Amino acid sequence: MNIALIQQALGYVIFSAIGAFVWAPLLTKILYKYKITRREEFDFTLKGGDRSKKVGTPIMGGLLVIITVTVVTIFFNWNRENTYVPIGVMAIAALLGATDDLLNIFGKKRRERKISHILNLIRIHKKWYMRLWYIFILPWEAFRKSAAILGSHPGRGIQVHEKLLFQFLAGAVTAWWIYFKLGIQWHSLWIPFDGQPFVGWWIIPIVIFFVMFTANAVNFADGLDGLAGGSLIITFLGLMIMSWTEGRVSFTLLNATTVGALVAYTYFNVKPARFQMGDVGSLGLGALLAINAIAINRTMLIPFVGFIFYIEIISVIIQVFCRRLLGRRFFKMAPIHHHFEFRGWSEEKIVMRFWLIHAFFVIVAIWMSLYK
Amino acid sequence: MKLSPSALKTIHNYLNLPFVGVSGVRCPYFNNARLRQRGQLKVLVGKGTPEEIVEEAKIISIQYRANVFDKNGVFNAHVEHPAEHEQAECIRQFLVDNNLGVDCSGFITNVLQKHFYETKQIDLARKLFITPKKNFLRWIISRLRPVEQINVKVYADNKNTEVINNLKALQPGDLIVILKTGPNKNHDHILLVEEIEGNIIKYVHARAWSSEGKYGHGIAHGTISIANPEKNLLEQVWEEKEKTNENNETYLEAKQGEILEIRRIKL
Repeated sequence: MNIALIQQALGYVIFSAIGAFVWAPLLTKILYKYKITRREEFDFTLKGGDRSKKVGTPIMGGLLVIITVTVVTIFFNWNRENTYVPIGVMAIAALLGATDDLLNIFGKKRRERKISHILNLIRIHKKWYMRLWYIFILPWEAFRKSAAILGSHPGRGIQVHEKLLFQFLAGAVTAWWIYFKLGIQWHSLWIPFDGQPFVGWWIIPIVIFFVMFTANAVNFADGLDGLAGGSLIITFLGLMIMSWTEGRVSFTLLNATTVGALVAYTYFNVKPARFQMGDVGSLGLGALLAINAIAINRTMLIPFVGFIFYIEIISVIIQVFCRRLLGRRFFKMAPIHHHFEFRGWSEEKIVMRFWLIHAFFVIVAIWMSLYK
Repeated sequence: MKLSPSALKTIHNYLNLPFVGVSGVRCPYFNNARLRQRGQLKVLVGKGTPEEIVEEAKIISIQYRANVFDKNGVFNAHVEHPAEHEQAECIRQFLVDNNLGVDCSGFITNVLQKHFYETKQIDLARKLFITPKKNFLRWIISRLRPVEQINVKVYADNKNTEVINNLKALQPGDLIVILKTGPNKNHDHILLVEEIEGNIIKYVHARAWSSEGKYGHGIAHGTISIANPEKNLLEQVWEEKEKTNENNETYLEAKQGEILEIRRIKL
């Protein structure tokens, strides 16, 4: 066991947590100054009830983690082979999230055009080149419309189809790095208790899928005070231990840095939240979670290290499937934490139980990861 | 002669939606033809059961509006000691404002489903012919979401129902089908015979009279008194909400319809 490495990693946890604590008040001040807060008129989930208390809470608090991790890594753990791409991918995903957060507050309502409207225009527009143009854009519009089925309501922010494209880009960058830069041993996929079968280029779609899916999964879990933050601490702690047992120095330190920043973030995020993560944090950290697990060749353990996030996104998928295909609800509300809220559980009870369940599965993941 | 007890209970539940602590909330009328929502919840396209409508109202209240119901589904009154009819009216307005209600065919399907399940252990929605297999996509949809696909034309289809010409032969569960009615002849309507008492036919339906304004519509009872069984349905006395014949909008609808038939489900 490399005790020196874990000692160094714990030092990073402490250093990063202190660093994040120090500049957290400044971030809060900036968010308040520029009114980057939850507003009732833009957020239908805030109308009335207990949730109305969340009006005025700053969002984009995830910047605390994203910026702390980026700065600490650039100055103390910068390694072109190891940490360069994870930080880059996290930045792409965080940028997407930040744009969405800002557009949700300051943007204008996006125009919706129905497919039937475009089909009509193709048929009846008096100018031939406009008809041609509408034929040309039809596949894109069909993609946009089909992606909108996945979203709950088109708002001011980035729309689902645009999010999917950006996340695909983040996944593609990760896949390029894994396949072309990390060497032939990364063309094999580690399977728990079953060795490492060679998958070749199939690793590319697998990586893209996990990056996209995990980023969205964390995004869905960011719905209750402390839920995403606390669960992410447990996840990155698990990843830190797994990287340590694998002897991956840069990744042990990167995960340690993230844990430290998340401790500071969660301190301010537990109920009543001083600020909320926002898409900037959830998408960025979701992508980082996936890439850090992939980079230590523990891709197949992502559903375990990100257990609660996967439960959240699967609950949304089941709900959308049942709603669209069968016309009924499977859960009272989705993601699943809202279902329990509807059943009368308090926010604290849901969050703490979810933390515990999540911690259990992260321990299972660590246990499985030790089998070569 | 009456419908089965479970069907009557369903009608009763539509007339008194089962909200906790508040009675007399009559289910409003809602037709999806205006909003044309696709792939939406059954209850949000006017095809929900009373229980589904109540459940959805609570969810909408918590998710979007709040303070109409609390987490236990109990009505939150905004004034102290409101009369029960005021509470019921407040909830009805909430339902109408949130597009919760039932259309005529949705109401009849849900009632008859209970009736046929109790009397014949048959799932009516699955037994009715909705669309041919050659139209594969629509057929799949009709198998997945049968209740949403059943409209008045399905009940007017000879594959599902047969025409009853003799008014004396009428039974509870028979349907009065009105096709191509309204000023523009562009909508259909259907009534359910609930009870026969001598020469009086008691019917029940989900309807929206223009005279009732934004919030007055919903499930309603009416009667047709058979003055002369040899004459057709329009020549009998229609009464609903104490209004008869020309003042009765249901009668007017029947009169305007291109087709007015009494039909019985063939199962």
